[in-house]
Amino acid sequence: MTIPPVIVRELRSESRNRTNYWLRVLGAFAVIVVFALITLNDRSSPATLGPKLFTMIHATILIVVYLFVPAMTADCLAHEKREGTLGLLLLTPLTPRGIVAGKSFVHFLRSLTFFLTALPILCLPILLGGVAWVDIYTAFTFELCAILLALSAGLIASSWGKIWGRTLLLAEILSATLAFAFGILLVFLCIAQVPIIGSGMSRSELFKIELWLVAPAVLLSGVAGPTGGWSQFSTLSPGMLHTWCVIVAESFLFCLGIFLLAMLLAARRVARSRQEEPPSIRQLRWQKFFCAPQMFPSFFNYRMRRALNQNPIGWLQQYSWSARLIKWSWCFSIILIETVLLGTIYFQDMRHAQAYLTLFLLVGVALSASGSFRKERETGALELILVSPLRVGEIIWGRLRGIYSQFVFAIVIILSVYFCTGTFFNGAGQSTTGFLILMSNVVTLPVIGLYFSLKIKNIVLAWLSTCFYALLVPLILWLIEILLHLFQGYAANVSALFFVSFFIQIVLAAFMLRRLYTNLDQRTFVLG
Amino acid sequence: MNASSPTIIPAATTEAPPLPAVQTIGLTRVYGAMTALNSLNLTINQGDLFGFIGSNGAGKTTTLRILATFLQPSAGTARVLGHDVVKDADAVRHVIGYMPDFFGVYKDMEVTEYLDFFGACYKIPSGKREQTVSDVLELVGLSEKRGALIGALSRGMQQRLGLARVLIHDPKVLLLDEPASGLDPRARIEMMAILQELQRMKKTIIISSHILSELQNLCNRVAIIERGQLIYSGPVQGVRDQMAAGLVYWVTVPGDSSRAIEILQARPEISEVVAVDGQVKVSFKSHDVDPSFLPEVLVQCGIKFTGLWEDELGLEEVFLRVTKGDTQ
Repeated sequence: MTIPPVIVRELRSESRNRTNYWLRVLGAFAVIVVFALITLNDRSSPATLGPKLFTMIHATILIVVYLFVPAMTADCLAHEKREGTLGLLLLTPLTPRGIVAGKSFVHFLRSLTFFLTALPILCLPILLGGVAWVDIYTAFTFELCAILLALSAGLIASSWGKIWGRTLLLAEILSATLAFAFGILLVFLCIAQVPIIGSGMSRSELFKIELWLVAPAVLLSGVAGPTGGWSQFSTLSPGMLHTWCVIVAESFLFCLGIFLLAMLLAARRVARSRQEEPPSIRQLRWQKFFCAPQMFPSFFNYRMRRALNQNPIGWLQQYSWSARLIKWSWCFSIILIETVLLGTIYFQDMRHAQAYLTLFLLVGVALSASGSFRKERETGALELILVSPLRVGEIIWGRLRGIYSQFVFAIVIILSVYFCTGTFFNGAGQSTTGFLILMSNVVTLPVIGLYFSLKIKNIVLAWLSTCFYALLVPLILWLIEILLHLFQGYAANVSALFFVSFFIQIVLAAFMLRRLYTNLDQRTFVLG
Repeated sequence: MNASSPTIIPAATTEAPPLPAVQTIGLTRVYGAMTALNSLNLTINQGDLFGFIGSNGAGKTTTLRILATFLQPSAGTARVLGHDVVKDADAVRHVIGYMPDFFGVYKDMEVTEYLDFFGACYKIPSGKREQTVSDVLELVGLSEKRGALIGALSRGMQQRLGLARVLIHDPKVLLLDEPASGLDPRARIEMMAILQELQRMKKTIIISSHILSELQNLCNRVAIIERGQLIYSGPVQGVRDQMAAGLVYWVTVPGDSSRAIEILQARPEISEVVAVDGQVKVSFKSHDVDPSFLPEVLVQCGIKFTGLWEDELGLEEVFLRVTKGDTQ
């Protein structure tokens, strides 16, 4: 198996990729923010603060790994397929397994460097004290497991598809599934090997808890079940600690196995892609059956024609079945999640769930907005659109309209739940956070995303920049609110903060809109 | 005009020269430290089928992109049918059709959807668009593929679709960047036939191409550009005459040609006679010599010959002579 040429080529290419450097900066920034928020909020002794910080920082790293590593890996093979270079590689003595192994190795290194940037901050809780060796062992092993699983998700998705957006979606879904499966595996290993889990919870008690709810909690807190934490290790007997170490090692072996399996699967797909065949007649027939409107086709055609006449650029966001699928998938997902939440959580506890759901939706809006001109830039259609008599204003408005129309139903549902459950009106300061972020970002996020979609070629970087700018203002204001509360004992006026946040974001979005207009008008943006 | 008003006949009419389709004056484009176009002065008349020739990186695509209003010049001006490409870009966009050297297609769209979309971009009224789409598809020979997905079309068909898109708003000036590149011989011949048909429809066509043998037969005027500078602009025959060192004829003499060479070398009008691959190459001292004496002399001396023709300098040879092959 010849691997070195692939590794050298990939390393060279990645060293020139400025996204890597920005991602490392962002990764370190996220960890610093978490560190700052906890230390500002918690005035307890270092021995108590240390384990808490350790847990939270590692939970952040796990989330970042499960979210970003698949995104970074999702295009590694798909890109070669799109460019037609995969076929050329296969004409050389390189084997599919060699190609996949080489790429996996480089992306593993890439993920590891991402993790290393957070290492200085990770050392601080250890220096504060209260963190045992078993905590460190568990945390690092789980992070290694997370990297392996996230890489597996990215590799499989990349070998499966060709279009970046689809491979990214598949990679994220696989990553979430594998993370969930890992949580369940941990629970099962604990059930099988540990008689008492966490703070006095017996095996029989654990069986009463619905596993699918426990798994993510186990995963994110790292160890010891829903009520436990890192400090629980100090209470465990030496025998139990040994068992726990064995469980952690077993889970790592499981992840390594999954990773090797994913590599084999990806290599198999790569080998098959040597003979790329057009879609079969049956595939086309199925596509036509499922993806073309079956009911009221004339009404549908009328609506699409109207959209085209109103603004052709807006129509671009609606014409394809995949665009419609994304629109209604968002709507359906939000309905489903809200239904589950309303069915399981009391109204007064909805505020946090709503805030996270809002954040989830906003991340989706940011992704859609920051990738909105990607297809046109890749195919060169943007150049053709820009030499047509369409005005720059029409192009921008068309795109914004397209993005809004894609998310309008999902936003309306979330807003309705906010009002119906009274999470907005119950008076507590933090309860409105989600609503405020939603309101100001619904207006500004598509504009900011659109600006970065033309400014930055790499979609991951464009997306991260959009999220950064969109969340920057609320985050700074939140910090101000906390600082005022801590040092002055002053309870900030939430409405005032909202209006300040909203105003600053509007100004920021207006500035970016102006820049976007100028960039499009003078054609000063990256192509390709 | 009111029917009763008197008709005003101009006293003396001096017919104004027709507006050039494209005119560039001192057109310059700089990318950082690199000058892609250096003070290009070019005039293309209406109805011309104009060939734009140059090596890779010579500045052809940059020129076409500026004319298409996609790029702004660093210095100088460019006008299309009298409209400035910077100050009056909107008017220019209505009269030009630009086909870049890539397809720029949405592969998940159907052929008619794609043309319908660009028809809407060019603000063609909804009621008229369907007919226009049918007409352009007919013109480029894609009528049978109107419902097909673009991703399923061959390269040649996608190229034709690109041409159909260019024609959707009936532009007066077509800017075509490598329209026949990557096409098989049949598709290339068909593409050239379409272009000739468009020229008959009084369109001004500017083609940038590397396939010089085709431009030679297709274009009435050419421009040769190298390192962003114009080397030649004018009729195809003009550049041939300029480049040809002297008149050259070829004579096919069956069997031994040494006697024919000896006789022809003795003539004062002839500078050189050499045998090349069984044929005799006769170079005259000047273009002004009447070569009709050649067959007479050969017949008088009893030398049989089976062929006699003038050596015409091809565009490819002209290009090689005038350019040094420098790229930027």
